[in-house]
Amino acid sequence: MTAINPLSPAMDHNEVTVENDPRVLGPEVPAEVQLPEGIPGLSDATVWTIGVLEASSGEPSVFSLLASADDPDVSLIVADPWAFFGDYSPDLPDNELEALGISSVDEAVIMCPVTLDADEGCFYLNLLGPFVFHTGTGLGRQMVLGDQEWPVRARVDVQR
Amino acid sequence: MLVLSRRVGESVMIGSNVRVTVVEARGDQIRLGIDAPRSIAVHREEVFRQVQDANAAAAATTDRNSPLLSGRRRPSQEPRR
Repeated sequence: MTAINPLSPAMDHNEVTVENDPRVLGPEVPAEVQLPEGIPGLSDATVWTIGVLEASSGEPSVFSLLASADDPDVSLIVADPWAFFGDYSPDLPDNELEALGISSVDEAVIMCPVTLDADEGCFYLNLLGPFVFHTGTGLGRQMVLGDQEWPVRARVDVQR
Repeated sequence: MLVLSRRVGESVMIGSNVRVTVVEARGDQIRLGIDAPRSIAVHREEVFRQVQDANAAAAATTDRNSPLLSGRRRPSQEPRR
């Protein structure tokens, strides 16, 4: 197992403002990525595009849109988990990292699926099932960390 | 569904490179050992389903212009469950 926490914490848990934080700009992966196993529960498509969403200021945000190259309507918002949960330290299975050709932390980009809840004024990060991509090749997969205690719905409240 | 009977210590081959072995049987609990290529991820079904459901939920809320995506945010729980 490899513990990964590139932005290691120092982030305040109670209130985080991330819009212009240079540490948490968008993912450094190719605009087109490969998910040979597709996205469970969503699509078997293997080629996906990934684009950083802009914050209201026009700056890159910590959110990206992961969309099927064949059908852009099939998409997920993903986010840098450390923008919200500085203590997040998933143990990524070595065999799965190897399968992606990732041999060091520098080669991995991790993004977690985001579910918006407009009624509640919050969103949820899936910390149990992070996407992991090789920074150079864009080869990735969604890992399922079933042996760890990360929540599938980690709530982040938005102050309006 | 294919149903096979196996004793403790016996195995089932799935394809040519996945082997599932009954390690122990105690009451209604069975312990399985799984030998599979390193590229094949093995999960408990209920955990995998959680992630599948979460993906479907996330895919249903992809409003890139949502005000939730900008502004101040506050995690309301510790990340560990």
